[in-house]
Amino acid sequence: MNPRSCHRHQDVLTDLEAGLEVGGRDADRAHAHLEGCEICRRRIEATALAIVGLGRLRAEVEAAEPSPTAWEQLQRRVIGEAAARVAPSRRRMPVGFPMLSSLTAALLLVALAIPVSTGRSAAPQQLLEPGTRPPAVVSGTDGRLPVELVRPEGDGPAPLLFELLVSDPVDAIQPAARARAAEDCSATDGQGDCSTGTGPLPGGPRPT
Amino acid sequence: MEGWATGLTEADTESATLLAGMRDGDPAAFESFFYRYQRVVFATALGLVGERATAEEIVCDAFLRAYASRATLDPARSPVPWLQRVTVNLAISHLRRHRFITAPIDDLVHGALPRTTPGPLERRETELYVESCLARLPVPLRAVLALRYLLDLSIAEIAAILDETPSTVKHRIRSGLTRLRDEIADEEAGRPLPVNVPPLRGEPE
Repeated sequence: MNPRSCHRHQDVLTDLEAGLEVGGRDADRAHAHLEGCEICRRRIEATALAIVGLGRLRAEVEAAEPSPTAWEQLQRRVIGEAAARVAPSRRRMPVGFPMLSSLTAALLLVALAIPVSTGRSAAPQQLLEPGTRPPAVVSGTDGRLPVELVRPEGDGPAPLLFELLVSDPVDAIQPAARARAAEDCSATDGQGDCSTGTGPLPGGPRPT
Repeated sequence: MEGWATGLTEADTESATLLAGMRDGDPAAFESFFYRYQRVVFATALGLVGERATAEEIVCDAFLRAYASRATLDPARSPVPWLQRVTVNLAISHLRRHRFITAPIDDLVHGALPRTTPGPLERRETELYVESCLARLPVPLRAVLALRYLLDLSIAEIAAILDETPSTVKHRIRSGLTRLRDEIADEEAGRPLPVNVPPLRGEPE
């Protein structure tokens, strides 16, 4: 059989095997060619085998069950992304960055000088008592990310707890946050929008 | 797996209710939405990437995007095509980033070992075999073959998901099958012989 002739019918034969639409005359010609061409017959058989193999994979894909913890994984991702969204905003440089950085440096110097003058070590790692969490620990499961700050001055670390309300995904997904918001809303005597659950939350107004 | 691959265009009142609930910020609606469409999204991801852990990550990403886009999703239409489109795009991005390590590990290990039994391949072995050949195809060809043969989508549905013309999809299916056939033939030719097969005449013992 002429290889050129094989080439001419190859696409049509593959389309036929793949179940794709082929014009009647083209199909008839390709079938006629196939009758007398051993090479094309073998190729078509190999293509059919590949399709059978794909069919077996399909059965496996159809039978595969999603993870039973998929919803929990999604919730963890939402919280992780919300925390990541909070973190870069802290790194963003404000317009008056040089002035603020000088101010921060001055404050740091003062903070370090106080323990030195009172006889305490100024080493940064000793500003925290053993067993206390490092500053700005971000965690949270109920729609708010409590951020714990530790004051260096005084007898011991006095944690200041702030609650950063992250934007929509967390508080919208977490029922606890909404329930609390609804409670707060009723407690504020109708000041918030109770119908949508976006009323004022303790710790400050809702960020946009 | 009833209806997950076929309900592409039919409007679905339950999904409309869920989407409306998501728009209103109802967390239970999002949870129900997730459980309703999790399976189709997972099957789509698994069909394309062929790896369970990655498919689960893609499922998360797809639903995060669905949540972020809840205001723009049309409640009058089934969200399945949208979800499949997002999933396919995420899977294709993953495959492009990891194109050199797509073969399953157990297949790589298995391929390195000589076969001890001649004759027809076991069912599971064939699946891994075809999967590893599929993983070696260029991503666009692999994607159309997975959508067509693993997820049983029509040419029109694949064209809509990939934002291509039906003739482009047909062309890719044809090219993909030809490449897959050749990959399988190469794999067969390069496969170690079963240990109990006597050497060919003239070959040193």
